Amino acid sequence: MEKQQFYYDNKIVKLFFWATVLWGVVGMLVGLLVAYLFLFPNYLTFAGAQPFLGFGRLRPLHTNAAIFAFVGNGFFLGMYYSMQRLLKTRMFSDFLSRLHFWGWQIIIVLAAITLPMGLSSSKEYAELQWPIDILVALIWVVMGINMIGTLLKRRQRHIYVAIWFYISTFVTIAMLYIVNNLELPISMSSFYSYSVYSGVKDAMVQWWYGHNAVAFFLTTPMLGLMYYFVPKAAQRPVYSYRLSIIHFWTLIFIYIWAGPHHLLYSALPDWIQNTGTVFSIMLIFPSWGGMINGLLTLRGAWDKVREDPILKFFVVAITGYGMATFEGPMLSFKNLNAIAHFTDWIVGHVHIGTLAWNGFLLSGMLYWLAKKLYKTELWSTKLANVHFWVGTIGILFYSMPLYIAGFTQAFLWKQFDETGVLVYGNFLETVTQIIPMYAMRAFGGTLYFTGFVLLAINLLKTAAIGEKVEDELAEVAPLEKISGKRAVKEKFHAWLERKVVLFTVLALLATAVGGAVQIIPLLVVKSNIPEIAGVKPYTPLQLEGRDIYIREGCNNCHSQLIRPFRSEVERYGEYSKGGEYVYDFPFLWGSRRTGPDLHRIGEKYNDTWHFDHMYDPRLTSPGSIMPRYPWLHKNTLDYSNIEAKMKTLQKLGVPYTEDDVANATASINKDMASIQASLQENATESDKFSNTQDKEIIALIAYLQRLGTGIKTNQTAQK
Amino acid sequence: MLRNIKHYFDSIDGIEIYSIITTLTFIFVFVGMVALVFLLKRKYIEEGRNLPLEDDENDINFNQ
Repeated sequence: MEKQQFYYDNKIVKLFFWATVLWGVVGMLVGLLVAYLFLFPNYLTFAGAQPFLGFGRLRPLHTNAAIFAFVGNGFFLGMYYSMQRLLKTRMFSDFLSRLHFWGWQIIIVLAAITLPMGLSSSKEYAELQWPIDILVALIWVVMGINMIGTLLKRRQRHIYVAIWFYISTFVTIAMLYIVNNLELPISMSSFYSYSVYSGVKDAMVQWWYGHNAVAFFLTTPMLGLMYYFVPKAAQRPVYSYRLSIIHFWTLIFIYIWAGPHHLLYSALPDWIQNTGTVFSIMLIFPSWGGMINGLLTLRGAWDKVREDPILKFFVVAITGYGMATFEGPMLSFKNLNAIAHFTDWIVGHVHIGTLAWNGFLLSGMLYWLAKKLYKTELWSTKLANVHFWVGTIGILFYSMPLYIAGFTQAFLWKQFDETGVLVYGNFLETVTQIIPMYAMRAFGGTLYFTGFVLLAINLLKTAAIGEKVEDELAEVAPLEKISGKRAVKEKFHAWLERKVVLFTVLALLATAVGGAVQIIPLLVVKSNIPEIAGVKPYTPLQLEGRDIYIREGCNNCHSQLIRPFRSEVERYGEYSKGGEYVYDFPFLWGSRRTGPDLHRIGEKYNDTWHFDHMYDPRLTSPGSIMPRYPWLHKNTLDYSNIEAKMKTLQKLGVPYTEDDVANATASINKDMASIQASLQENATESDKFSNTQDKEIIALIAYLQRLGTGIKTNQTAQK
Repeated sequence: MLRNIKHYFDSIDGIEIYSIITTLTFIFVFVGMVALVFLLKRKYIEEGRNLPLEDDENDINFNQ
């Protein structure tokens, strides 16, 4: 058959190439800013920085930038390069490719503006508010159409395993993102919205999403890239193609069930916790199958690993994947989870995944692509080697101190003396002990960041000495038309691979089944979450205070979930019940305790304590590393949307009456006056609390004083 | 180690059914995949695994 000539689109690859480098630098820089806040809580409070650079607002910016901007662009980069070549065709539509690129960059810029403004939904890695969520979904679908379109016009019958991982990434992330971000805006003109799920249900949906964002945004796309770029760089085929097929289907099938291991010992029903644990442990088999497949691809090429920095990056990346996927199942055992959860161990675990597996895989790929795209050798192979070593030492300095910090915290939290009293009853003592670990972590992060800056310099110089990027001409025979039915003696999987749409549907089904089994019964079976009579909807002022809590990102450091351990009940009070959260749209359990749990903080301290503590935490708690929130004492509370908020919550099932909504403003004024009176009653300096009655701090105090009191006021209902 | 975690599972009513269902699902998926994969023809496997390496051959610029 006569060959057809066409051009590979290298310009779109180049756009994603530089976006990956740029957002890598930005995302890691924000991470560094955040890491140094643990050492110098006040260093970002210079004029103009407040309130935008507080920890609670910057941390989501860091995670979103690292995940969606850096790794996201890196995935698109590798996908646009490899898909065209594996399928022997240009992408389906140049317009869609560019729409995807620019749309994604606009989303990133919008996130970089709105998150520091405090426009957050509070759900981890899904903090963006509803208009941006819609944009993300649209652009994701644009990418999907372009992807499927390219598959349909391919000139290669056989679809390589890397592309199966890309397909699975597309369909599963679409499902996860849409289901988790279902929210009701308080009005079409407002950026603010409430999650349609509350409390326990919201927690389940969020961690089904959160865990699988790691699975299908940070793992499956990277595995696709591994299956393409490691053989390319090593110049030998993947070790076992059979293993890669098993790896693919079992990984996507099992991964989706594992989400509830983020919620062990929580108020989530036990049966869901246990399925989560069982599937998490099974997950080691496909994960390690994939890791072994990646490493063994280098068999017979280890001499090259000594010379070639690209292969070095790949080896550490795949090893990091193996470490993180060993640790994951181990952390899902309930007894180990009881130690690790809420501590820095998890932060260390995650960063083995991101710094080693994602960061190094993308770094190796960037160096390899720079040579191909600019048709030249690297400007400096030596500098790439320096990057490798600086980065590797950076990873160790980052993660090891956090493992030690995690164990230390867990043991300090749980230590009792012989009389049965907590040895470290003051939570702050458990924080100050691990500050040296935070210092080492910041040092490790600085090393890693420095390495990545060296990569940026090296690539810029390489581009400068290389040829101008042009679309490459290729020549391939078109695909012969054959029947869509299974040919005689054609094996099932070989046939399935040519049926792109069916393949995509099956990949979606493989992932949807796990989510459906865990989530649907929770949403529809009422007995899964027992009701508690004493738990009432938030008053209008408490609701406004809760929204401030979300805006400032307090949930990034404070959990609202007391696990049923003696050490926690002793420290915080009665353990948390599922029924206490029914009016929490969204849930605010948090995932990390840099500060103490707040679920029973209500009525523990007086209003004045909270007032002073928010103004400067070191006034009430010397040595605290919590940031200051002085703007809460200056900003007048804007409650103009309170009626819209209450009406939205009414639609979601909160039993506010029409009178409640109509009297909301009056109720706020009354409650504010009462808190102001209590502040003045306790005042030591006579004029300290003047003119604070209408400030945001008052609403936040109202919310904090309400936390966890639902079962204190109705002791019989909880039994 | 397993002894330490066993009691968490023991304390749940009807827990056996979950372990049976999940184990069966796992075995079914895993064994099914292994069987499916080993039935594939060698020629097909060889063609598949060499795809990333052959793509440069179609690229006129790289071969110049």
